[in-house]
Amino acid sequence: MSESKYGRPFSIVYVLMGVGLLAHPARVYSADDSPDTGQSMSSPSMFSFSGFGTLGVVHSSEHQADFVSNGMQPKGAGFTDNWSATPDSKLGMQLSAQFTEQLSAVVQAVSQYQANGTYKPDLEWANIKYQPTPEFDIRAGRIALPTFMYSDSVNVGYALPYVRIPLEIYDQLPVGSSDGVDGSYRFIVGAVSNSTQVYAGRFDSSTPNGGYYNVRDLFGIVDAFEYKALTVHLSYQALRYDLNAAGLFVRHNPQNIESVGASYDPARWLVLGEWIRVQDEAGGLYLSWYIMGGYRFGKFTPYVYHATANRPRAGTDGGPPFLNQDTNSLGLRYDFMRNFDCKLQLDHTELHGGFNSFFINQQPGFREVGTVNVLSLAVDFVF
Amino acid sequence: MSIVKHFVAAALVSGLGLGHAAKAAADVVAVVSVKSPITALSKSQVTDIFLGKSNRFPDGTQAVPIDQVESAKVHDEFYVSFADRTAAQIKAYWSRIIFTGRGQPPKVVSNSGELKQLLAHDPRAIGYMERSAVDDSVKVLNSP
Repeated sequence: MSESKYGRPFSIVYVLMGVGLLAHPARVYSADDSPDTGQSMSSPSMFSFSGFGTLGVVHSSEHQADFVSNGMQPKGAGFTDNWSATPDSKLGMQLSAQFTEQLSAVVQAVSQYQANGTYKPDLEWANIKYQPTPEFDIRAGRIALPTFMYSDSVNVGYALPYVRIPLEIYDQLPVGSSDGVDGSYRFIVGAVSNSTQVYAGRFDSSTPNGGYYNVRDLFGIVDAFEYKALTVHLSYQALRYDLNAAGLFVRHNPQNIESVGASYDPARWLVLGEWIRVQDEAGGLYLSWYIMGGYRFGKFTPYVYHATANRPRAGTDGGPPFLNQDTNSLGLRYDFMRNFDCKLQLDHTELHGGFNSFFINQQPGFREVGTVNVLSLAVDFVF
Repeated sequence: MSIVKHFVAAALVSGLGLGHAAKAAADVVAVVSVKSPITALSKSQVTDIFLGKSNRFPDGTQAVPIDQVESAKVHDEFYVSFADRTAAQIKAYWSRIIFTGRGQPPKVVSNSGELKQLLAHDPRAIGYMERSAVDDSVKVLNSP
């Protein structure tokens, strides 16, 4: 579904940002709070503060619609602005607290361009973690969902190899976080390390013009294993949702997502890909995949990817597909200084018809089948 | 589109100096407390501990990695030499772990002298330093 990231304002984010300003930025990565470091180290503070952000501009060759990077943004690049900073620019702050060796908490707020046309921060997650052993932990609260390989770091440009997760994939991510519980178990056998995570939760959000998107009976299981430079991510997620937005109205609609992702990342180059199958009773069956490759020349990493999303089978709503497109991208990441990168990316997208969720404010001259070139320049940072 | 030209030009210039990070295979050694029973670890075992993928030594006892500050030369050299990763790659790796709430990077000391003091008090700790900084207060781990 195109309704991916809904605004969830929460007053505690302002408290967090206040605390963040008081915290000592130099301590960020010195992490006095690794759960396993025990009490023998002196620990000047149980809190650590860190942040991330992206300043980006986007240009689109299609002037009869606005390119957006998520379905909730009210304007973007193309029709409204020739170059737009709204699709990719964002700022996130995170406060972690290690109360005891077993008990910790984390709060993260992200400010990015929203449905109401502001950058009002959202509470992305706020949870408490209990880790009785290094191998096992449980969390309760608002938790990032691990549905896809990179879905839990979708906002952290510095941690991503490209400017943004290919929209063909991102569009299939119904929610980024949920209010609930999860448990993780990790073990190592020889050179293989495995992590299994199960989660359950719910999620409420409002959509523009008084609509809503409420998720219930959310359940998922993810297994990720690493062998040397290889990481494999397998996931299954099921949920039901009520939706009232943009003329669509469904209740208790079931949706299942299966995904397989893998990355191979030795030091000099990387290749990664993901395949996703979404079965949605109202929306139909969606298939998405992408494959990406890059090579590191010192501080420069040129990369290419191909991504595709289509809907082989319509759902009970009988409407056209939200997304039916292919993209070929060419990009370059430049790690120009410590804690910063700069990325330049050209996306060549072929639209095959339907809603074209990432081209909004469509004007009479917009052709729903055609090609669009999108150029993005972004600076990512962490602190 | 001059901004693109600048970017491409910078890429070409950098390409000429490519692989300079890999050549910095400096003499960095992994060290533990003299009280630790551990005598040898492979480079990948050391890397797993520093990247938070493992928190135990092969004998099952807890391992506590101690990093050096990012501005220290030995920091970059350690990750190139042991993990075959640049400092930027390590930073991107930890960004992902931190900002998904999955963990925090190792504790940091500001120099090898501070590391020696920590190792003296904690047999679970593991660190790294220039070979030239090694003395009787630490034990160098052989890499089989």
